[in-house]
Amino acid sequence: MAHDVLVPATAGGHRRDTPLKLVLSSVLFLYVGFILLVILANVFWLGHPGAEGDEGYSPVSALFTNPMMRSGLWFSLRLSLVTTLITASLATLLAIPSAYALSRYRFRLMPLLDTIIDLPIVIPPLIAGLVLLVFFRQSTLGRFIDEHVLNIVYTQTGIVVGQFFVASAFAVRALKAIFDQINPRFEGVARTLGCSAWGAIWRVTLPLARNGIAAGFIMTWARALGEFGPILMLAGATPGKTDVLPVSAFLNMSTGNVEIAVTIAVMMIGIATITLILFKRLGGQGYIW
Amino acid sequence: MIDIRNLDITLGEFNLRQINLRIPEGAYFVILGPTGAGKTVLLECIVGLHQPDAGQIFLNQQEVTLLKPEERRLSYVPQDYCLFPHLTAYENIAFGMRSAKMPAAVIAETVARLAGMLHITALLRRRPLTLSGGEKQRVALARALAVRPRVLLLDEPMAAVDERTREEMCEELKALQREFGTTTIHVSHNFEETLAVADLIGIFQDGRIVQVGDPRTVFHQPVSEFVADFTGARNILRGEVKAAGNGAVFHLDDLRLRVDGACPGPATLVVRPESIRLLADAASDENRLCGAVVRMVDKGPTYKIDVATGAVSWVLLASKREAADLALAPGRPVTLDIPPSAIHLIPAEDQALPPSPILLESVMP
Amino acid sequence: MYAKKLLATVGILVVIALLLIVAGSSKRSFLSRMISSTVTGHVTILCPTEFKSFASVLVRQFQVRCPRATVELVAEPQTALRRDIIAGKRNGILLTIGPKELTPLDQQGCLRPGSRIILADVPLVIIADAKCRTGACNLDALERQQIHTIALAPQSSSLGEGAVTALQAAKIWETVKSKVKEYRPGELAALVASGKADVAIAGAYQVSDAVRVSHVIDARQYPPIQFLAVETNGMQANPASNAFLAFLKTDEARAPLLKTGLVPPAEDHKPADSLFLYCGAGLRKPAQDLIAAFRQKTGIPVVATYTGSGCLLAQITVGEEGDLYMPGEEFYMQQALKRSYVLESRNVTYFIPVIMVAKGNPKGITSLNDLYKPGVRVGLGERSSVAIGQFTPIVLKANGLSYEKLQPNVVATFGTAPELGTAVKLGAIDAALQWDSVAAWYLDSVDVIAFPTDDKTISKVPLGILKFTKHPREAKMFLDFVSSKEGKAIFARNGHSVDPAHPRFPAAPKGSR
Repeated sequence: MAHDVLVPATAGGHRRDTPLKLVLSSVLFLYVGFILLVILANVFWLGHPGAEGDEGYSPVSALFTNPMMRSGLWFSLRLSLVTTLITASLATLLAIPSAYALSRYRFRLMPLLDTIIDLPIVIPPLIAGLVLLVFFRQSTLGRFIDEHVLNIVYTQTGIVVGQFFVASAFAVRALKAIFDQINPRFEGVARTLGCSAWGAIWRVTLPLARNGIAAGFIMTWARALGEFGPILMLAGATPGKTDVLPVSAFLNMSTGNVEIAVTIAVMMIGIATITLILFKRLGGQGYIW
Repeated sequence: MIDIRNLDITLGEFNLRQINLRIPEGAYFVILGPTGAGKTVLLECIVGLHQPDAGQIFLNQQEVTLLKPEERRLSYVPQDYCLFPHLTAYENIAFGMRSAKMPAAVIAETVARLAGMLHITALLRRRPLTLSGGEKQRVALARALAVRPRVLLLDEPMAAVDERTREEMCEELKALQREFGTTTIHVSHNFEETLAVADLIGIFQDGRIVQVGDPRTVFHQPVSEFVADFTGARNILRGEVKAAGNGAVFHLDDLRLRVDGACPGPATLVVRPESIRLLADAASDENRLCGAVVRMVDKGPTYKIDVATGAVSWVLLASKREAADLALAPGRPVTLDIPPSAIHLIPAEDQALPPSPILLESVMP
Repeated sequence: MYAKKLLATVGILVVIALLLIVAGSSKRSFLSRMISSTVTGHVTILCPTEFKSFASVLVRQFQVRCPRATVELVAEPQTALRRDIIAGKRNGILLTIGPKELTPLDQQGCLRPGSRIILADVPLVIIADAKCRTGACNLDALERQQIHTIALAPQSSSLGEGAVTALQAAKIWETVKSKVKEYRPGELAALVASGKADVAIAGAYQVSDAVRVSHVIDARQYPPIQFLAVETNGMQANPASNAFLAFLKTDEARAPLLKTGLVPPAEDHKPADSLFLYCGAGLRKPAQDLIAAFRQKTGIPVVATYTGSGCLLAQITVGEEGDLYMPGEEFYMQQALKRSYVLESRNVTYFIPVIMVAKGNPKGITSLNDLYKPGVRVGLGERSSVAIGQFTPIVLKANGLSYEKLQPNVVATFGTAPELGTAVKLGAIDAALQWDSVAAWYLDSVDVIAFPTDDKTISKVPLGILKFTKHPREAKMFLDFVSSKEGKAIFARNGHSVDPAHPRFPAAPKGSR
């Protein structure tokens, strides 16, 4: 048998990155780099130097040093956090049974249900706000609710309603995907072992869906945080009452306070970063079923 | 005791019609049938996960047709075991007892005992994800038995298990069942596994039960060609029985075989491979056929041998030792001895489905 | 199995919701039962001749609702009616102005206690002739020499008493006392129209086409004057009379009254916990100062929402609630007026267009003509959505320039005035046509070039009271405040030109171009 000479692939002896890998990685870095540069440009912006010898100030630092800006913005931040937390909680609570029903039960009009659930996401947010306003002030049922049950239009409740309308579909979608993945047999087995139907869902399906529930909550929360259109139309843009962060940015833009608007942008980027990190940590634990 | 009467259910593509079964207390009943026939649907009907369109189910004289699964007191081990992934093996087994709010000490003691019986004590702290197929099966069994069910339902328990473990598991299962005395319904598509465990067999074909009986009867007296084929009686020939002298003779082309107690008319002949004897000498006689080996397939401990005798081809089994003694090889002339006792006849009119439902009246041996 | 249970639960919820809806059309339904077409009986309506037309409208509407009831309308002169009621000759439901007119009847015990229904409040107004020669635009003006005769209703009536009280509160009673002449209430408008009196102080409903209201007197200055319904003691209550009383409580009955200048009764109002103002985004700074000052002065808080004026109009149209509307431009107020949303509107400040350029004016722009120079990047407001955008062609045309010819230099159009300003500040455009007050916000980073303007090229900013207001009195107070000297000062502080003759950025005289 002849000896086959084994020819080394490269002089260095180790495997080089293929051109394909380089190209794909470059695209990735370009994309990520673009986003990163845009964010950094804002974080480090020094604002416009003033005419009266006023030096430009970094909006980010002004956040901590300018008391008036601080109180206004901290109010917006608190309002944003409270309303979005309420919205996300409500949405998740409603989404769990809704998504379960969507996933497990067969409805004859399933495609129609699916479409309706997705509609609020697809409608442009400002139109969604208008649509809600028409409902609460023009329809009999809506007007009744607004006047006799719960004051919604131009109140902080309206903020939650507006956010809920456009963001809750995310929770439903996320949870439906999770419930689709969980074998219905688990519940069947749990029931043979003595659980009631509710007990089986509570002790088996929901613990298994834990990560999906968290994911749905965070996605709804994130969308609600950035929501502007519905809040503007339904709750109004009243500083000190209904100005969540995006609305506050709008109000400041509309009076020329670009610096404050950028500060808000930086704040929201910060919040988003923290959320996403949290989300990854949660997600990292789960999804092993 | 389980009594199913006239059960009808249509679920998706599965269509079960007129299921009638009576399973005595403490029996190990195997539902045997090809995959996709709807056996799981039947099982889940008994469990209570599906509502039948018609018919009734009785457990120990109590009608359970309308009861919820949690009220029927039976245990179900599905095909993929469905161990709760978010709980450890211990918690899985304890699940039923925790639902019943039993005291912790009792739970601990029961789990320990069951784990010992099933040899899984070392696995109790682990999660299902990290267990092998066989280990999962044992944990699933322990979980099912922990709640002392009236009936145990197993859906293809050996599907994910390797050959060697399967033998072991079958023996253990049978032993366990004897010990607990729980009526068991075991669904399978493998007749070897069935033979190993069953007290009674029901053959399931296309949504209907076509034969019920103890293994011997089903295997040696199949009621239809389907049953015969499915239980591994490889020699199935359609021909005609004609009266002759003091008995009857089966005719097919040039084949003549004497048969016992059969009515004249078209019939199907069934002979199990293991009932055919191989002879070295070439003498032809009544029920002795001369032929030659066509092919030999290595089956591990045995050879499956195709022998052609005239126009008819036979399948038989011979142990490796026998084959060596007879120096069997393709082309070698051999003589087959097929005594009448090894022959089972199925009259032609019984071939048409649906056969009438058969109620099992026999009692546990 | 389980799906059915779910359906059942949903079904029950839907039924409950439907019941709530039905219950919710509540207030009316209870009353409607009383005013149904099956009501029978006879009811007599009494009123002074002065109010005959009011009463007959009400009676006619009632008959349509209850055709089987019989209604008799008795209209007599005030004194005769009073006499007859006291004598017991007339009984029924009395519709009249009050409360002063009812005191004698009350003293005689002719009125059923607790049966008084207030239908509307009567605002006191100063009536002047159609051209308002005398310029009597508030109470103080009555002191002027040009006014010789002030016609009032007799002091024994609510109108008269109210007028005197208002004059006393304005501290001019002593000086104008001599000019006052008392006449019958029904004649007051005619007297002014014919010139026999220079002005009159009368009820808002007494205004005729020949005269005009020159001033609505602040309601806090006089005791409430009301249009009332009350039962006489001698009247037998029957289904028809109950139905009529119930009818008087409905919006349908009050609508014709409100059309004549009467206002919903103050008692019906919830106390004004706050006013709601729809305010254009560009007016936010002065609005916030105005709101703060108003709060300090009157204790009434005002909640404002700030968006584009057009968007606000959409919200008003759909929302049908709120008290005040201050858009950035008269055009939007006209739209609102066309849709009958506005009760009263006044111009409170002005927007004067100027040219905004980057600090240091690198492109050397000194006039509108320079905008057309090649290489100048111009930004404009969108014609259809923002006031400055609409105005730009008008301004250009008025200066003999073409809007179309500017287009090649226009690099972008913007949806709001502040966006335009931000664009100049950030250097995205070299020049923009912008309102002076908006430009003033960016003074630290831009330069402003003014050019001569006139009435046609100035935008007026109006503030109007919406018809949906539940607090007309307080809304009126805010309107008065904003258009007062104090309000104007606040606008000026925020860089607005409150007087077109003295703009914030004076233009260089025409000759110096």
